Amino acid sequence: MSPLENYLLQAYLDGALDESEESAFELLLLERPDLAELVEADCALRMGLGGQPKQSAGEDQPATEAEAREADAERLEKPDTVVPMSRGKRVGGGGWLSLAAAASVALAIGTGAGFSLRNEGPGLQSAAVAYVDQLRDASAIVKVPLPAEGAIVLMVPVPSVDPCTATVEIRQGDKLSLRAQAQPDQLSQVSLVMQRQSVNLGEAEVLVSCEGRLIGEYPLEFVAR
Amino acid sequence: MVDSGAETGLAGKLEESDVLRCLPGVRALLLRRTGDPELTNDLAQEVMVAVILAIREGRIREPAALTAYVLQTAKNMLSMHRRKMQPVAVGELPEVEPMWSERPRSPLEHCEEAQLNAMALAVLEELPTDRDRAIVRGYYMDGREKPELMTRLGLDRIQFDRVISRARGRMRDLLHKKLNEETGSVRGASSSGVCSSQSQEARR
Repeated sequence: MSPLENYLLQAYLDGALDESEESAFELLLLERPDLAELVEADCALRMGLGGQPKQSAGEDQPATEAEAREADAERLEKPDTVVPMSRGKRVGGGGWLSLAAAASVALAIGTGAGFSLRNEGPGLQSAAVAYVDQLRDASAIVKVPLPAEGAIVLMVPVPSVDPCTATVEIRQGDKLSLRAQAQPDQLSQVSLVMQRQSVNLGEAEVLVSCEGRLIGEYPLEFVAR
Repeated sequence: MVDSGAETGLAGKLEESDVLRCLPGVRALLLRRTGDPELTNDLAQEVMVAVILAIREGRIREPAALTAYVLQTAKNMLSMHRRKMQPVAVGELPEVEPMWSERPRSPLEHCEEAQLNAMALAVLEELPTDRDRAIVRGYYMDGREKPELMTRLGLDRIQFDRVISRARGRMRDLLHKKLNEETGSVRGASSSGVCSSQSQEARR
């Protein structure tokens, strides 16, 4: 192992790399079992001595609950803005299906934070999550269970290593087409909000493109939950 | 040996068994992010199944694209786990089971908690000075930040990293020893060319 690799390994384990550097190092890890062994040994040493795993640089969670509350309050104060959910630590023990806002828009736009709803009222509204799961069975038509009514958070993978603003389009036959642009989160997911009545049960197609280039095409079927 | 990608010719130059080469790295990055060996193993298996499906369906054809795809898949799997989501559709891949059972093993798969604890304490005891032990205790046991420990112990970064690196290397050696003891006792029961060669490669 070269001194540079040793330096990068230590920085990776210290959580001192930014997100892109961390991804670059993890690509190297996949190619280099000798480095992977040292990461594993580091984790084993920590576990053996009773320590907690270090936070990954890519997990931009607030350090404390107070910080999380403050961050959420700041977002809520901005008029007509998107309201990301806290992804990591939960404030007040609420589940992440409790979404802050009434999602009356047919299809809201996800932000870099991953989750978003337009803030149109003081109340909370629950939402069902539907996931376009292309990883497990890409050739089949994925069945996406939907509730009878209410808001739905549709999570769509953006299969691109390069950063891009993804355009996501949901098509159902010739008549229905919903479209939104969103920044994928650090895990390459966009989370879009729609009302249940915006789509019909039955076959649909989710198309994902970056800068006009089609990069994902997911045939699916909306079924009753 | 199962290698349906090569048999069917659907995978082009990339073979399904190539995924195993990435397994030590996948496990390492998942373990660092989760700190849970059992969860790491489950997620790593999910990653392998997902990537094999992608190869089978022709979504990845070039070997050069494999690592990037594997990394993204691992991140996605971790994300799905954190969001407590169950996959909507599960691909049936019964033929992956034999391949997975002959994967390159991780030493942590053979270690009970008490054994891991004993190894870590042995590493700590082997360190030559009290200062070195204070560094390792502070860093791994108490979870203190590096700058804080460096200031408290009057060390520069190079001195600090050298001690940590030595402890980590020793832990790796002990884990290797443990793995060799375990695999030595079962060697012969599994003789897959692909997986055993991958395993040797992983241990080099």
